[in-house]
Amino acid sequence: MRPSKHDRTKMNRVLRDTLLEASESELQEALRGAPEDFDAQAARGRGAAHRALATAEDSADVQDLHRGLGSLIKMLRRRDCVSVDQLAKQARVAADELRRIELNAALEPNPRTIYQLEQYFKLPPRSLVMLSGAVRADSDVRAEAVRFAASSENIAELSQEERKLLNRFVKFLREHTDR
Amino acid sequence: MKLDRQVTPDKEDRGVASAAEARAAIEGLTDTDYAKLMLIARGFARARIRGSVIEPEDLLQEAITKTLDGRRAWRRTVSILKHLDRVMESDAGHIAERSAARALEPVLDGAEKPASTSPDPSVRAATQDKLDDLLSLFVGDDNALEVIHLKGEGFSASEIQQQLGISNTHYDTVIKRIRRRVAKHLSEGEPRL
Repeated sequence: MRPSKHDRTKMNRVLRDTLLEASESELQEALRGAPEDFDAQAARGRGAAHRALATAEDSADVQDLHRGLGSLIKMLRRRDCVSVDQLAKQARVAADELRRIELNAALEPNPRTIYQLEQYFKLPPRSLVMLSGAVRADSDVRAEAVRFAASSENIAELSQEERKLLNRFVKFLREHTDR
Repeated sequence: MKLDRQVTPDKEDRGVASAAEARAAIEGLTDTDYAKLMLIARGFARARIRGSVIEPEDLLQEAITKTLDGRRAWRRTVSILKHLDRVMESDAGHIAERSAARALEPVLDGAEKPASTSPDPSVRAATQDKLDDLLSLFVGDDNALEVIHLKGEGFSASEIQQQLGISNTHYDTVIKRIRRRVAKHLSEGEPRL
């Protein structure tokens, strides 16, 4: 009797699991004479894994920059005593996106939003572009962005210390974009 | 270590590995592990339908990427190999279903679109049949089919030997035959479907 669909799926999983338990010598033996032998299969698999690991690393780097971006926008907004809605109106960007930029490092910011914010806050050209991940940033920019995000605190008014921190980070960005 | 930040305490409570643990597990895979995963990826790549081709490397790369970025949570109670197998199974199934559904769509003029992109049950069944072709390797091999069936039901090796009245050596021979046949089949040249 032909097994049910559910049973077939289960039995196919058993077959694959059984293969996953094979020893190196069993696998070498089974692949002897195959169009692609053990070493070729392993090399292809390792290549795929290396690419995935590199992608994950890049993605984590960009999220580090985004944390710095979100913190910088929030701190500049607090320095100027403007709400998200007021900033959105004055910089002609979407308020929802601004909120997400401040809170969600995984968000890919809209290039136009980044340009508008850079203009509005009179920041060094391409400084926010660099933090948005649209252009390649050096590892020291990423490290500084992480430090800045970790040091900025969520209080209503900027303290003197925060103001110093903000000025130092903007200066750092200026130096980096002037290079 | 920076990948750790993506993991919430809730996830840890549910036994989900952190991104750093997943990365360490992936980095610890051996050549034997990669060869097995590639063979399985090749098997799923056989599910191409009407011109839609899944590259085995892409399937494996995507499974690893999803595991690293947390889109597919890896539970520590499951081996990383089995986890990657299940992610590839799921992804290949979705790709094949979408491809089959597209092939069945009528050619539409203008902007009219079908209400749903979810394939009907017959498409789903046909797709699953193509993904399940490993079982056909054992047609006529009753010993192997019985072992496969009982393993699928969760019986241990000794329970299976008892149920079927076979010796440990006989059981090992069947398991080795299964491994050899599956590996050989998956390593064959171009997919047949």
